[in-house]
Amino acid sequence: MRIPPSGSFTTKYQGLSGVLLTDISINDPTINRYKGLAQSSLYAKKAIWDTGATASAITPKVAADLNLQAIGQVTVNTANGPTITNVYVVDILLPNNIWISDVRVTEAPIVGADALIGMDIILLGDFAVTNQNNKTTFSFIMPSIKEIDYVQQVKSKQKQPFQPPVKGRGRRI
Amino acid sequence: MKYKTDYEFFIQNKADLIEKYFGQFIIIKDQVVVGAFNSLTEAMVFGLSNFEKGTFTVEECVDSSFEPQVFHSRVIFI
Repeated sequence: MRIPPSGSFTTKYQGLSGVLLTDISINDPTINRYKGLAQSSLYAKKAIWDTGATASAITPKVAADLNLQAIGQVTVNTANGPTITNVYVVDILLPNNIWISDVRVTEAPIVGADALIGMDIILLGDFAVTNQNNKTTFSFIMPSIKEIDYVQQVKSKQKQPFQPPVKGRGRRI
Repeated sequence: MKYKTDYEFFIQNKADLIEKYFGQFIIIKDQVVVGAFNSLTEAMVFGLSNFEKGTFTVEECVDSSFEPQVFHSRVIFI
């Protein structure tokens, strides 16, 4: 997988969202890019970001629509047990023009989307989900820029010395 | 030994292939390793220049923790 220098996007949902769904575009690099030509047209689809998937995946319909040819196979473990399925190479365009080239994606029947963005892509950057005011905000940046540790943040707040109110201008108690 | 597919050849010989081509992408065609490359792009360019699309297999020779792949919730093979 080739990684772009940097990029980020944020998706804000109207309420609490149990699924992290974003728009993506998919390109078949074998048509033009490997031959040194301009890339072909992109194929827009919906993808679920899934931390329970070790790899990214596309549905058989996406593979058929793009006329992708498998570059190999892979063994996958699902709730139904192990099986062998096709692997393709694609380019994926994430929101905000984050372009990831040469992604090996697995063909799989996906529930609720056309593609899964798995841990192979999530591990390329920082992935944050917050739910302040009962509204889910999902943000992703690559490459990684910082470590988030809420336990340490709470401890740091607790360690801060007591600040007495400033005399003179503050309200009298 | 004759294998049904290039993937089966890769799985059966994985330990030896990883030792020989560690960190590289190999192209397997008709159960023969025909090239080893430092990137997937290099492997694909070579493969598409020499063989018909869909007739060769590209495998990464790493002892990856992602193999076999796992889909905990959203994938249902029937």
